[in-house]
Amino acid sequence: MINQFLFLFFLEVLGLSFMVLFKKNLDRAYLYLLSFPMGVSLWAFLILILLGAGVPVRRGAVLAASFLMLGFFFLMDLRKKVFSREEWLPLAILLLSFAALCFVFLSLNYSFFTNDSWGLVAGGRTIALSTRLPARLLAETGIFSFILHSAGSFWHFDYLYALYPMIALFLVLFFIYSLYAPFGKKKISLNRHLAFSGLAALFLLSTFFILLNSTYIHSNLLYGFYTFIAIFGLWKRLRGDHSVWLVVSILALLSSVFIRVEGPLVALIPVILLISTRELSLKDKRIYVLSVTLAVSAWFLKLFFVFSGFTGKKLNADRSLFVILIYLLCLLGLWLSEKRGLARLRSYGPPAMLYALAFLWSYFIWTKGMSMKGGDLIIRRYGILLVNILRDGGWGITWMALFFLFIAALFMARFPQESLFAYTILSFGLLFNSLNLFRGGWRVGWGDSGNRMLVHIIFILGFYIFLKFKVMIFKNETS
Amino acid sequence: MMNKKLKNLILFLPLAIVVVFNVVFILTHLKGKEDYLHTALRIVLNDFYGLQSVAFGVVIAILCGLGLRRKISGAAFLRCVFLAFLLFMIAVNLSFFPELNRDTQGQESKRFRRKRTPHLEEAVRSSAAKSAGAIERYLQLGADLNGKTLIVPWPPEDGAYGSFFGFVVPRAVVRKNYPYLIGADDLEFLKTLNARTSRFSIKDKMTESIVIVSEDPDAEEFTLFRNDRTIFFFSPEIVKRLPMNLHD
Repeated sequence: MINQFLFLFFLEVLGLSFMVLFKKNLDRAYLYLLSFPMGVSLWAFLILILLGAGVPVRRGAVLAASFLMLGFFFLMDLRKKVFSREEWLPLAILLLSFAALCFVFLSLNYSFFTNDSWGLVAGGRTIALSTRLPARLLAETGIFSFILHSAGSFWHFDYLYALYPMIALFLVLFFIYSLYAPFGKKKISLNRHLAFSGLAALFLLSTFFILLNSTYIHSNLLYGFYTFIAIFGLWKRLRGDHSVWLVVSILALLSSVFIRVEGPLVALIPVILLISTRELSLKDKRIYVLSVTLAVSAWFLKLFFVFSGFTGKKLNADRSLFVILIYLLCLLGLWLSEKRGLARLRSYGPPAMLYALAFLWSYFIWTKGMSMKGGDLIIRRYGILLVNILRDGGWGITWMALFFLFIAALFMARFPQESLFAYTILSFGLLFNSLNLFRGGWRVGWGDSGNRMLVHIIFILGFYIFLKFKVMIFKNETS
Repeated sequence: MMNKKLKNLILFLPLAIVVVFNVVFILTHLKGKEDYLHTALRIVLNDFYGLQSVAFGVVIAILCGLGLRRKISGAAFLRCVFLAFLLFMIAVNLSFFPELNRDTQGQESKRFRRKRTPHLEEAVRSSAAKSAGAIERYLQLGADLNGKTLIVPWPPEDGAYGSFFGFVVPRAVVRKNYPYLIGADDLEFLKTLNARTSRFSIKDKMTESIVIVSEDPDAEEFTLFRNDRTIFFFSPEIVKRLPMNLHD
């Protein structure tokens, strides 16, 4: 237990030492709330870089690299003199609270563990103990969770059961705070706004399936959180907040790319939206698209060699090249969007993406739906999804209520840069429906893969809906 | 302004038509087939779980707001209504916890039956009673690999299949019995595994994750399972390096 505690505490310190570098430009609450997810990301990226470079990940090497990274951030902190005298107390309180909560979750000694969980844990062991990357595992899911669970092998604990409640806690607090002061804290009343955002978060948290995910050893909640941070960070930057949000968004988006096998596809949505916007400078766009493209291409090039001579169901060598090609096309798209003659076409980017996804969905429905077996596929996939959303998926009244609130929200006043959320939600919906026809393991009940995938979008959707309502009912205070 | 609205209409109308068309296509397929649409409609219209809850929530919320209407402004009234609605929805969600908590199996064949999942230990015990010979054999194999490893008997007797794989398991139990290792060095076992795998198609059912321990993980016998994400191959050397002493 103590090893796991030390590991999670290390991640928090790592994330904090990174985030305090931006303390002058970031709301202090966001700095604290992002410290843990960013720490988790940075450590996973460190191991990913080691794996990508072909360095055998063994305990000694990982320990040395982790402390080197922490030392580097500390040196940067000291150089930038971020630790003033008045800074120590809140930092100490934060770390103590983290330690106490982590200890509580470790002591509660409870988690949901299914065969998928076992796959993640066993995959982590494979990463830590094998000399080569396991093609069979990487063809099915992203490497991020495997890397996190490999820590169990490095530091002799079974699996990261306390990670998920800690992530859930940070997610809830982040959701509450982002809804509490989305446009800054000026002119808003603490009690009423906190009551609103607290109740909104509690509504999501009162959903059985979301609560279950807070202890479920799986990738869904992690993915949902990082996607939410990526979109929220991009939205903050689009609204004119400091460019640190761009860094946060890039890190979160890359995390989401490496968490799930469909991650690279979903990540294209914010990348295309970013290329199409007029609100960001060219420099910002170049940084964002280039860093995401480079990181994704480098990893998938590595996977291309890992997959050589291997036929995976979801990912293989050809599809790895396809992912690289798509991201290179995005880069080309960015370059073209800078051309004077083509710049005015940029605004058609998001609708074009929706059309492409809608036609992709139609194509899959028609090609699969025309045959007898295809019709059966449609019945199984969508019928089960419908029944799961309404009753058996463990969502309670949540999706039903969100549906009606969403309809009502469509007729409400717009908030700044709302289209980012609107396009993300619609694009995700269309992509999800297309992927729904290909997924396996469908069943009535919360364990259905489509049902679990709904966790990926619910925080973005919830934030969008509640922010629309907030703008309406706190009209004088949020403008 | 009008121009912008018209432009948006022209831009998004075909898209809306495509999406609506797809939805109608799906709904027509669902209608009358395996009762999915009927079940969904029943949930929405008849069960308290659906439309009534939302409608009732709206009414309660408006009544709460009206109660305060005389003393408060229009904006505050809206706030009250919305917060009351949220509170009601939270209460509805929470009211379903006890029932949902029992629904841990999630198998299609048992979708309307809710049964508390037995703990792994109990399940293994009951399974062991049914296939006492098998468990002894595999425990012996496990003892050879590592004295602290629990070997799950495979294949379990009919009826025992659903009792301990793929379900919610309290962490403490997982820790105690972790990891599930299955010895697979005899052909008889492989033949049975093959039969079971075909019978319980991986595409259709939740299947268990299996670790196959073999001197030769690349052996031809395993070709069938190579692409199966639920089966992992380890050599005994790697297994010996796994930190098995997890009883802290």
